[in-house]
Amino acid sequence: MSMTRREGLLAIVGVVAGGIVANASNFAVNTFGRSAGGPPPVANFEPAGLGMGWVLSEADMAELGGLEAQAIDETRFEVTERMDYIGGDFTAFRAMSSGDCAAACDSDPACTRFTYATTKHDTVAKRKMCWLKNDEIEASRANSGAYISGQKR
Amino acid sequence: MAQISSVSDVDISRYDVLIVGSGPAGCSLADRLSAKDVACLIIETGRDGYNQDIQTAYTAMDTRGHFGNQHWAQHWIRAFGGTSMVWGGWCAPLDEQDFDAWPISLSDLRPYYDTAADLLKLDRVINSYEADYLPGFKFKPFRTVIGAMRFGEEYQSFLTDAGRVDVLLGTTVSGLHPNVARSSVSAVTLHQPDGTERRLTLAEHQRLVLAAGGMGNAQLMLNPPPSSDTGVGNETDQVGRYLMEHPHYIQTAALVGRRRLAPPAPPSNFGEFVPNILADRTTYTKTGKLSVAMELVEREMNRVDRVERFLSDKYQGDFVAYNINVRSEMRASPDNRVTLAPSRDPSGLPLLKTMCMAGSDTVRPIFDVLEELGKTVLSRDIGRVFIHNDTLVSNPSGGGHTMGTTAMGSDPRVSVVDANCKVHRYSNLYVAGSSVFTSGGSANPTLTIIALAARLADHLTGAA
Repeated sequence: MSMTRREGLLAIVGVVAGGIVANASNFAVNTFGRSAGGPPPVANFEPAGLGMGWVLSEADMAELGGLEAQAIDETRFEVTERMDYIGGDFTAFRAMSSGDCAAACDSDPACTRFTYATTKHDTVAKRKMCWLKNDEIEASRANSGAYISGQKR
Repeated sequence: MAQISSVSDVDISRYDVLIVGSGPAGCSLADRLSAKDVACLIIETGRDGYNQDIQTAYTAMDTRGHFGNQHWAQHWIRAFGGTSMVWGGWCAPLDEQDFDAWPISLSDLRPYYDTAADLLKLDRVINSYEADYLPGFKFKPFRTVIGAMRFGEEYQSFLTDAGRVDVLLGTTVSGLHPNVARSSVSAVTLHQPDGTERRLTLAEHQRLVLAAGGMGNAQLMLNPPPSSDTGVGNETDQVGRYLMEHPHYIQTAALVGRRRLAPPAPPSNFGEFVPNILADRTTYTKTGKLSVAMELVEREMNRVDRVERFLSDKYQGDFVAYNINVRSEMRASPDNRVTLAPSRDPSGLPLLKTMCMAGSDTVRPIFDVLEELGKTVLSRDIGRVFIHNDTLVSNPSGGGHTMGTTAMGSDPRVSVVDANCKVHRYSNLYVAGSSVFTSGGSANPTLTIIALAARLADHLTGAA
């Protein structure tokens, strides 16, 4: 089999570029929903302990509250435990806590709802995933033990 | 007659220098030699254009370690123009401290970096520009080129003009034959795929330059001549060792904080660039003497991240966020090496096996430089640095840079070529290309490859 030079070069460049893309996805945020029926989302990163990967001062840590889970601001969200909103995703990422997920939704004007997968989720890759959603959700499923959801008030 | 098609048509007496390989090293060397009226013959396994069959037959290898199974073979292109066929076009000179382990210094190479920039039709400012950044760090961009020079196309004149350079394509140098004293190469064997083979005897004044890439140069010198078990130039078992890449850790860190963290802009004649920050000499020394280029890529604030929200509030919107792509030096290790595999290419040369791991002596200094950057912005309260641990300890990608396999040094016990790129012991054997790099810095190697080839041309003509 003989390739044209251009095909050969594209083959090589494709593999090289593919490697970089694959590597970048370790960290890339906002790339995966879960409604497409494909494989489970590839984990981006699990927030680490203490400084969560950041180089911080003691004063920073005191202000940030260290590892304590951030509570959901219930003046901003109507929160439903064990609720899973299906569809309407526009971004997804891993978050320290449901409170961080809610805060991300709060700071994004496009976000009207969020769903967060708790550490009890059966699928390891989904634990601590946060999905930010708009009002175009397809369904809501109550009594889904591993999720917590919120809707902006 | 500029392109010769058959080894039987070679009149070796016409040439002063035989060059094995037609990539950036071989072509730029021939270009400069012919300008000084030195007659050269370039010998290239590949042909005019990329051919997958040739590529597979001549570069298949066993690969162990980091960077991936196909990595090294994919960056050893067997065609007229060599690995410039897949070159991304990035250019930067090495830093002064990158030469600490070399027997030459940056000042020895400076004029030749300008020669290299001229040859690539780039402004010489790429060799001199750098700017202050934070205390302990500097800004040193890489020049990027859309549509990098393909040396096969650029040097079509070698194929068509009558000048001082002839090219023999589709021909592999399949053997180097030393004299009894192993003080010179007395002959080379040329092989063509139809089975034609010819042994050419070198005259006293003729020079042989291996410019066959980081893999090809090692392959030729590891391959023992008949009735010997030691390759030419491998008398101290140094050939193939110190294999290096530039480990790439893409999005392995982040720098967020006040807008004053924005990198400076180089002058407009610099051209397109990748904005890199590097440790200055003091920080470099303090963090383990490894060159770590940190590319800043501006991005949106990560709203889910508690620290980024905290900083954005704290700085009242005076806020900018960058992902950091690390492209690092890799510490030279004798155990990262190319050896011979138990199979042969169509010319009879043994194919290769590689073992290459970026070890803790590479990864730990990268952590240290990022931590130092973090402490620098933290102590001034102008930003914070995030380090993504798991990316930095994962299998890195590479730049396609095959370096170090015939390392330069003054001590033959731990190196292969001397400061003039001449193989120790051998009076007429030289090496061009990134295989001579004693250390790799973090800059892309092509500019340095061309600069070293220009310097070698001057040495061969008595001008340096």
